[in-house]
Amino acid sequence: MRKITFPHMGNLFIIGKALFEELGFEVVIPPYNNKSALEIGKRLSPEFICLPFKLNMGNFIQAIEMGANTIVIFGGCGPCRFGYYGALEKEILKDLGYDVEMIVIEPLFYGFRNFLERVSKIFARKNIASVLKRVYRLAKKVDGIEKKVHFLRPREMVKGSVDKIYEKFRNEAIKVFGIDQMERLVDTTNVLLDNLYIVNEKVRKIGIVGEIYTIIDSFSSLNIEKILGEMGCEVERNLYISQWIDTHLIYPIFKREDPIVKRYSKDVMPVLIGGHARETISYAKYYATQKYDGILHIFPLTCMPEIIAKSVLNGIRNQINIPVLHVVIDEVDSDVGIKTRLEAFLDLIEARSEKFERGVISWD
Amino acid sequence: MKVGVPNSFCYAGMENFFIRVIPEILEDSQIIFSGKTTKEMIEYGLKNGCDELCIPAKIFIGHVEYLIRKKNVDVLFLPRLVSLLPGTYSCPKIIGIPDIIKTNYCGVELIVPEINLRKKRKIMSEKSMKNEHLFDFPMSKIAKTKNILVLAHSYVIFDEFLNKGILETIKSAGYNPIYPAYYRFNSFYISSDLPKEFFWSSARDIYNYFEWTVNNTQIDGIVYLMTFGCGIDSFLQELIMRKCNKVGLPYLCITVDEHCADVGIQTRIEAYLDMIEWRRKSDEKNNISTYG
Repeated sequence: MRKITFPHMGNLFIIGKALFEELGFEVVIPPYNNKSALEIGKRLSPEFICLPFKLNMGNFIQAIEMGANTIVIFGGCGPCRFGYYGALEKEILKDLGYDVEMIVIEPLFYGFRNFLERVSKIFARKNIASVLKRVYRLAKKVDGIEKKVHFLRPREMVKGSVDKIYEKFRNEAIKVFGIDQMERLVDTTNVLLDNLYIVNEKVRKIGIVGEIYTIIDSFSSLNIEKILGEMGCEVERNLYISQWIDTHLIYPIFKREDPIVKRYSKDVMPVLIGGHARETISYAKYYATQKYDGILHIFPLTCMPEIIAKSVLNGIRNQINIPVLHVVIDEVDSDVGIKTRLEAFLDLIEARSEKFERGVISWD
Repeated sequence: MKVGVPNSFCYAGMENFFIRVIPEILEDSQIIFSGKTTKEMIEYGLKNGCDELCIPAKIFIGHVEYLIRKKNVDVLFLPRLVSLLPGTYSCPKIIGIPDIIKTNYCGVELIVPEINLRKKRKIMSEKSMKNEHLFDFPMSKIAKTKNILVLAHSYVIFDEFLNKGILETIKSAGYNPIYPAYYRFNSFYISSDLPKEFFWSSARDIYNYFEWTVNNTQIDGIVYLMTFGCGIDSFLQELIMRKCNKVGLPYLCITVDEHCADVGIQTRIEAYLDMIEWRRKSDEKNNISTYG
């Protein structure tokens, strides 16, 4: 009997669990990303690898201890290091002596037969088309909840009530089975969130851009979204899981491109350099035109594409004329440093907007 | 028109290629190379590069700034090296480096042709684009015994600031350093024991050379020169280290960064070579293998 596991990334486990259970497998979800997962990952991984790799290793070891015997992960052929994750993780687990099967789903670049061979191991039995359609709808709904949480956090009347509901939703999601039950859970959570009392305070809007794992996964971004919400900021970010599905799996079929990326990266970064560097730059430019108060750029230490994005953003900082804070995530697990920096950043935004209101045009 | 070409990072070793290609594209142009890395360039680079960039890229920015400030070039020629072997990509930093220069040095005009051999699509003229003509590096000579394999990207091996004279140190200790040079190898050797072929051109080269030398020559040890913050090295180093453990070869990994003093690295290399020497002696003396 296959017991499938896969790495954590924010709310990915909700979607993955529903999908694999619907396909008839048993699913093992490792504990949420936590200190001990990071500790295991640090011990087993190369020193200069990016943070997601380390957390992946921690997730795998914890899941194997819980009884998982199959790991599913995506591969890649692009210049970003993510494409080689699966291969090296396989090697490390083999050297450690764990007896697990790793199914690395490579893109079609490595041959159609190769792709089918890997995919057929997990998609063998059911009516795939309808399952995938329903999973896609579920992914949209789960991301909808996250967006709602971002909207409500700075506006809630009783502080902490949004997070109470959200935490409960995530904890319940591990217990329920299949897509239907998951959808019902999402619906009830939506109702709970809709019935919260909100107050109309002055809310600042912050756009978050950066590397996909660190902005989606709240543990690795040190709960930045929550901290910002508590400080009275509404957060909007450029990547959600369903959006990843859109841009990487659905748009290529129709040979389309994200319109914002297409429009705003034309003169700055015309070709793909891997990862989400282009998305980072174009959404930063887009947010600057949309009356946002500031931009947070989050990426793990040594992330290759995002370092380029940071350099480019540095170069066009006078052009976009909006405060940008770059946050580099490494293995620190305390959020005090981040809080201090965010406070300073918000103070800057505050001071800047006062100047604007007094009619001073330049703030440098 | 003065065309500036920096000789650093991914463009190291491409001088002959540029001399051949630039007159084809631009008429009456005068090519100005930035030459060897100097202290001045390093200072420019460290001051103006973004903190997280790897050190070769920072030095590259120094080269560019030197060309703009001191040589008054009209235009910079920076081909975008998207892919240098079929089926591979370059490092994202190499692909994106023209964008950094474009946004950070607004006054300068850039010429950015695309070199992309990933799908055998060629943008620049066909004749000049053959792989073996892209890079010119002096090849290393393999001796019969006492070889030390030095692995790194070519722009580290041939930059004296980055490698801190490591080749000289090895030579003066009586060993023969051998090293890979880009794109001399792939036509006849493709590694087989990797879980998955690398999709970076340079990583594929370095790993191929490593595997070929381990299988076909007599080497006493391996030194990996890793640049701080290099994404490719973080994978490559780990896989090579694992292989060395299995084969039983002495392995040393040195991370080079902005530090200017080369004494620390020399000490480590000397200690490492001493260890290899002891090992050889004890091997000869008692005929018991120290390989375990």
